Formats: sequence, structure tokens, C-alpha cells
Amino acid sequence: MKPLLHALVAIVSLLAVSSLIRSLDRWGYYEFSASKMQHLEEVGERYDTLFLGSSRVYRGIKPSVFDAVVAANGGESRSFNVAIPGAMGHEMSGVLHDLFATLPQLPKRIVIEVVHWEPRIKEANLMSDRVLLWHSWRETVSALQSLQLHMPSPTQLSTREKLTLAWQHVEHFVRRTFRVGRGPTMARAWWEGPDPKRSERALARNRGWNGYNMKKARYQERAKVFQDKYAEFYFQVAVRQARNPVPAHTHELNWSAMEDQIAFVREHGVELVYLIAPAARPRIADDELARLRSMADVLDYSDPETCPELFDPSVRFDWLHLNALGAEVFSRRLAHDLQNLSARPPSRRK
Amino acid sequence: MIFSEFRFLVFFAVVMAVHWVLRANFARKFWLLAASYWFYGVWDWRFLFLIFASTVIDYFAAHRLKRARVADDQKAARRWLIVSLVANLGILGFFKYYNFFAESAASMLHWFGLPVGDVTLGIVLPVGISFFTFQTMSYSIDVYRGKLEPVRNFFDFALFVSFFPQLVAGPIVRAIDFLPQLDAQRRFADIKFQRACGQFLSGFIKKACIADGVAPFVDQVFADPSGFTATAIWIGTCLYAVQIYCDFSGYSDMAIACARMLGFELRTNFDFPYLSKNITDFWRRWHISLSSWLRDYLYIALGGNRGTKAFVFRNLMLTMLLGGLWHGAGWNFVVWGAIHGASLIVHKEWTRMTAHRVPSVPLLPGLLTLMVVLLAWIFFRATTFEDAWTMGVAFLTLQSPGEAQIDGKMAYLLIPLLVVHWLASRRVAQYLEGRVPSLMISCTYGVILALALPFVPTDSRPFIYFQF
Repeated sequence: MKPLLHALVAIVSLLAVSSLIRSLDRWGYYEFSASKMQHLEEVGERYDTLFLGSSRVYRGIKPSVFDAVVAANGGESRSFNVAIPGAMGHEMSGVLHDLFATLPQLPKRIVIEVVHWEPRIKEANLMSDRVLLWHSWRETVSALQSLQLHMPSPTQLSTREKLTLAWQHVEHFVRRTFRVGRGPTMARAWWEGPDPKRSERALARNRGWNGYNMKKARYQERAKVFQDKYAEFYFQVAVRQARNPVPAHTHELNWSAMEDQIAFVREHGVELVYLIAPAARPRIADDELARLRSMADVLDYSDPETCPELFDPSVRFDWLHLNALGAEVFSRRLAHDLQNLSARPPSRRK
Repeated sequence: MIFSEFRFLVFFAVVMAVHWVLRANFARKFWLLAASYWFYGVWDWRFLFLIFASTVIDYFAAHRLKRARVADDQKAARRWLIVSLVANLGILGFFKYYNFFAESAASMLHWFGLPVGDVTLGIVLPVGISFFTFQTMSYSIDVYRGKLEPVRNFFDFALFVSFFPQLVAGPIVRAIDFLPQLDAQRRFADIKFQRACGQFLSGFIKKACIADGVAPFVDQVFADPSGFTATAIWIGTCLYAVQIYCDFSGYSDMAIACARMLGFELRTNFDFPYLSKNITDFWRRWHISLSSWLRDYLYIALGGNRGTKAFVFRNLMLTMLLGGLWHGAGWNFVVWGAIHGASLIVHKEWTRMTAHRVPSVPLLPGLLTLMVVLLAWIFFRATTFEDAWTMGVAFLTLQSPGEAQIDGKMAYLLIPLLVVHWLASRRVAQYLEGRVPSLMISCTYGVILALALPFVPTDSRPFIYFQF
């Protein structure tokens, strides 16, 4: 019994001090999004609408334009773009929970992009900040559970692969819990003191929106490649992609996790709207879209024939993203649609 | 699977739990053998055949050797010793040195105007090969010298060769120390578990926080030394000294602690080497298991201190050159060995000439020793000879080859090193044992681990000595 008592004491003290460290490093692993989170923690009550998503939202929704359109239509809105480039379902869910635990006052509405709930971790992203970020207990369990889901071909994983993946998730969880790797950054922050301009920077960036800076050579190059090579047939390809019937791939949406997410948001009295961003890629299967609509409000911009202005090459940066002009167009359209949606009674929204 | 990785901790926890749950000694040994082979197989399962072959050869050679000795047939005994040495050195030579010697020979032929094509083979170096071949060689030599009886049970011998805590990077265990421990019936209550945990924790901090923490700065300087100032080169060299010490002694601490948790005692491998008073003292404190191995099985076999002065110097130099080459197949390691060999010769001669005649100046001998050690580390670490030369010149003349500086804020990484070093040198843990409630010590370990973990880089690096 004595060794067990010693082990217990050591583990309790380890967990207690780690918990203290976590409280000192609230936005550990958030990288550049830490400034957004800190800003929302400080003045989050200013905002009534939050946009959460991947780079398609990060680059594509401009809160200032959105708010202006709402105001022009006689409404009132203060929105904030809290999207993270490259974010997948688990990552967004992690951010969502962190947000709700942080905000001094919850927003009226949250718009979440529908993305894949991919339980696999890319080799290049292993142990990276962005993956460590979302490995809370809840999300780790959710990712582990999703490994048990049916995975149709071609993404079928072998038992060995699932075990490896499960191990990776557990390891990420342990590292996140003990803030592995955060020491130097924390020490530097302590050494240099808080950055007084941190929150203002987030505000200056159009309330979380960040369009492609076309002064940068690499962005110019990417945009030029798109315009030169693909622009002329982009619309047609997008139409084909949208019409391309894809088999239901439930693992990519992780329905059980989404149900939890919907319940979580509604429990807090916040209106939830799912968003399918405008991009030329295989469209969500019709039966899946119908299922999603039965669970929550969905604004679907993935069909070029219903929203051609978002697939015009002049508003595109590349296949998946809008440029700054496109962000304005999309933000205007989104503002109209959200206002219309809110005006309808819940029973007539489906 | 390295000791500072999470999966090793899980592996070790399982091995240890099953080990102590098993009652019978043979079952425990068999379990440890299976775990050791599994541990080694995780690196590369193909090398399991190699370690098994090495084990079989030495096991049978030692028995034949013993039989020849009993029959008073010295020639046969010598023959079997040669079989063992040739087999071990053959394996080591092929896997570790073939490419080096083939490349060197080809370069020499090219220099003489006889160009040859690519002579190297795509040989993968089996991890820990230098360590386990030295262990098996010492076993055969000890049996030959009559210091040790050959072990009867093959599985005991296989466990001695493959015992996982020290398999891949030492300490180099002598059969004479280890084999008797296999026969002893161990009880969990008899081991100093808390002390072992403390030692593991200390090793973990040295390796994962300090060695891995300073590694990027070291890599930066050694990648292109010609771009840095002399100050940066000095800092980079000092940091490498810190890195290699923390990396290797950290590994040794963890290995010794793991063995202790399983009821085995391994020899200490480091004894505050940078506090040495002279270079001879340094080699009594640095990688003790290797230096004592080289002394007992190479230096003494070459003649040791017997014979003329030139003969003794030759023995010293040869031992250190071969010791350098043991670390790796490269001329930089030979130069490193030569610097140490020359320093040992100078120190030996200086001591003889000035014995009791020159008053000793406090700190000066220690600082001089440290300078020599640092200079030698440059050759040990540099990737090319040109880089080593550039750094060596800058180190000695303080002439900057470039303009770049390195970030000095990483100095905080050295704080835990100094704290751990100071506490250990004062034997604080041993002092506190019995004076402080043991539950308090366990609690402190938990706190220290929680404070250390954030300083573990997310990308763990293998131990430096794994490549040797």
C-alpha cells in the first residue's frame, strides 16, 4: 500500500501544479490565434455574432462588411471572425468550447463552417501546436470514438492503423495536459512582459478577418497561377464538382460529435447556423445535407448555380478561397441570408 | 523508443509491474529477456538476429575456453578467445567501420592516382552495437583470464547481453558485476524505489529539458561556424559541452534508475566530469564504464605503465585513439582521441617533472582541463574538418570568422542544470532521505516533473550516444 500512496501523492501534486501552469498559459498552442482569443476574453461582450471555421471563413468573411449590410437593412450586428486556417472538426469543436468558457458574455449567434471531422493526423502536423491545441479530454475521447465508426473504402483503416492513431491522440492529450513544449514561450512572455498591443492588433485586423496580402510575392504567384491556368473553366468545374454525387462518408462528419456540438451550443442559448463555404470541391452528399438540415440551420454556398457571384473567377484567390473582393461579396450575401433566416420562425427554416 | 518518450514510460511501467508480480526468479529473468528483445526489436527487428548471434558465439566460446583451461591447453584457450574477439570485432568492424575504412582507402588510392569507384555499402548501423560487443568481449576475456566462470544458463547470458536499460547506450556492464545479480532473489521492498525515481527524474530533466533545449542553438552554430562571431562560437562550444554531458549522463541516470527499479545495480557512469582537476581526473569521471573498460582490456593489455616512457606514451595514445574511433567511424573522432591522448601524456609528464615542486594554483588546472575538453568537443561535434578548424582557431584566438550572434536568452535553460548539478554534487537527495518525510519527497518529485514538462521540446531527439 505504501508505494501506491507515494504514487498517488506524486500524481496529485503533478496534476495540481500542471493545472496551475495551464491556468497561467490559457492560450497555449493557439499560436497566432492567441491574440484573438485574448481579445475575446477581454471584450467579447461587444460581439453578438461569431464566425468559426477554416481558412475559407478566415479569408472569406469580413465582419465589418457583414455588420454594415445588417445595419443598412435596419438590423444591428457586431461580429467577429474567429476562424483558424486549416481547422478541422475536432479543432473547431475545441475552440468552440474554449470560447464559451472564456467569453464574458455569450454571443447571440455562432456560425460554424461544416468541415471534415478527420480523426487522422497528418505526419507533418504530429505534435504541432495546432493539433495539440484541441486535444482536450473531450475532444480526445471524441476522436478516439470516431475511430470506432464505420469507415467505408477507400479510407478504411486497419486495426493497426487505428491503434497507432489512438496512441497518437493519447500522446497529444498528455502533452497538452502537461503543456509540453510551452515552457520557453511562457518564460519569454514572463521575461518580456505582456504585449500591450496584442488585443489592438486583433481589432486592427478587421475583427479577425485577414484577406490575402497581395503585396506578398507568394500570394501574387498563387493568384496568378489560378488566374492564368484555371480561371476560365473554374465555374464549369465548380458546377461539376457540386453535381458530382459522392457516397455518404459519415466518418468525415462524425454525426455523434456534431449532435453533441449542437446540443452544447443550444444549451447555452446561442443560435447555431452551419455554413458550407463556397469552394470548388466535391459537394456534401444530398442525404447528408438533408440530415444536417434536420438537425440545425444550414446555409449552403457550395452550389455555383445558386450563388454564381461567389464562383466568378474575379472574386477567387484560388480553388478554395475567395480574395478580398470575394470576401466582401460573400459577407454581403451572408448578411442578407442570415437576416432572412432569423426573420423566419424556426418551424419554416428547413 | 527512447527513455524520455511517453511510450517508453508506458512500456517500462508494464515491464516493471509484471516483473514484480512474478514470483519465481527464472520467470522474472525470462520476462526481462523477452522485454529486452522486444525493446531492441522496436528499433529494427532485423538486428535481433545480430544480437542473438553475438550472444550464441560468446556463450559457446566461453564454455570451450573454460574447458581448454581446465585441460590446461593454453593454445586452445587462446584460440577460443581469438574466435570470440574476431567474431565481436568482425561484427563491429563490418557494421560500424567498413564504410569508413573503405572510403579512406579509396581516397588514399585516388591521391596516389589510382581512382576507384564507389566502395561503400548501404550498411545501417545497429543501435548499441559498440556497447553490447564490448560487454561480450569483456566476458570472454574475463573467462580467459580466469576471473569469471562461464555462465551455465544460456538465458542468463542472453539477458546480460540484452538487458534493455543499458542495451543501447550503456553503461557498459561487466559480466562479473551483473551475472551474480541474476541469481539473487530480489524483493520489491529491498529496492530504494524512491531514490531510483529521483535519479530517473534527474536524468529526464538533463536529457529532455536541458540537452534537447540547448540543441537548436548548438546546431545553429555548428551548421555554419564561419558565419558566427568568436563569442558565439565560444557559447556554442560550451553549450555543446552541456548538451553532450546532459544527454549522455541523463541517459545513464535513467538507465541506472530503471535497472534499480527492477532490482539491479549498475555502475555509475559520470561523476561531475567538468569539475575535474586535470585531464586524468576527467577520464576517471567521464563515461567511467568505457574508460575503465579501455584501461582494463586495452591499456593494460598493451603493457600499461610498464616499460619505457615512450612505450607508456604509445600505450596511452593508442588507447585514446581507439577510444576515439570507438565513438564513431570518422577522422574527427580520431582527432578527438588524439587531443585527449596528447593531453594525458602531457599531464603524466608534467606531474612527474613537477611533483611536489610547483605550488598548485587553485582553479587553474581545472580551467585548463576544461579548455582542452572544450577544444576536443569541437572536433567531436563538427561535421567537417574545415568547420572544426575554423571553430578551433576562433576558440583559441578569439578572432571572429563572421558576424552572426546567437540568442543569449536561452541561458535560463542552464538554470535547472545548475540546480540539479549543485543538488546532486551535494548529495542532497541522500541527505534528505530519512530527514524529510518520504511522502514529502514524492510530492516534490511530482511538482518538479510538472515544472519540467513544459520545458521538454515537442520534437524529442534521440540520445547522441545512440549513434555510437
